[in-house]
Amino acid sequence: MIDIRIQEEDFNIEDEWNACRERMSGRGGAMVAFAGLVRDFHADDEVQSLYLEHYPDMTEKSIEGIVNKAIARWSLLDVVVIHRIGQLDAREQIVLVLVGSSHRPDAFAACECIMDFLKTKAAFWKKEIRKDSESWVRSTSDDYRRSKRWMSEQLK
Amino acid sequence: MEVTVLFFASLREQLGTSTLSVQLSEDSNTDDLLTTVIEQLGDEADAILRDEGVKMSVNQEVKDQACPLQTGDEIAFFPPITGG
Repeated sequence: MIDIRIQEEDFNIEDEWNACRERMSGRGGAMVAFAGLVRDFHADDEVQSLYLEHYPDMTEKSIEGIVNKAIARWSLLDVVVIHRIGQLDAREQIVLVLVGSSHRPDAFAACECIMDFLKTKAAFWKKEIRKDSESWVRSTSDDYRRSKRWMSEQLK
Repeated sequence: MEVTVLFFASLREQLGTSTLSVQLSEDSNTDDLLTTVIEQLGDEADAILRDEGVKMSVNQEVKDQACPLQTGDEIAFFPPITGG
C-alpha cells in the first residue's frame, strides 16, 4: 500500500508504525522510519519557525513518482510518506517516511532513497523565520549529490 | 490562447503575485510566454525570472527546455526545491 499525505497537522509515528505493521500482516519482516524535525538553529542564527509552501497536486504527483520508482527498484510491502506544510515551530516534526518490506536491506535503502529525492524532487519550499528576519532556505549541493547517487547506483 | 502562470515561494514574493492569466498567440512556446510575462510584470521581473536557478513546469511536469504550449496550460516558475 502507498499512503501519501500532505497536511498541516502533526502526525503520530506510533500510530503510523502500528497501522503499517498491521497492513503487512505476516509478510513484513522489516520496517524503517525516518522523521525530519525543525531545528532551532541554522547558519549561526536562532530559528523560531519554518514556513513550508507547496504546489498543490504537483507535490503529490512528484512524491508518487518518487515512491513508484522505489517500489520498482526494491521489494516493498508498504510505504507511507507524510509531509507537513504551513507554519511549523522549532522542534516540530516535518516529514515522515515509513517503509515496510520483507527484508532489511530493501527497507533501509528505500527509506533513504525516498527521503533524498523528497529533498530535491518534491515541490516544497521552506522559509526560516527568525526573531527579526526571514529567508527562504537554499537548496544545497549535498542534497543534489545524495539524490544523484541513487541514479548512478541504478545504472550499475 | 490563454494560459495560467503560477509563481511560488521567493519568486511569488519578489514578483508580488502568485498567479497571472496570459494571452499568447497560437503556436507560442514557453520562451514566448516568459517574454510576455516579463512585459506584463515590468523590467524587474526579467532578472528574477531569467535567473539560472529558476525552474519551470508545464502542467505540473518540470521542463528543462522550451516547449510548445496549448490553451489552458498551467505553467509554474519556482526556485530550487527545499523539501524534506
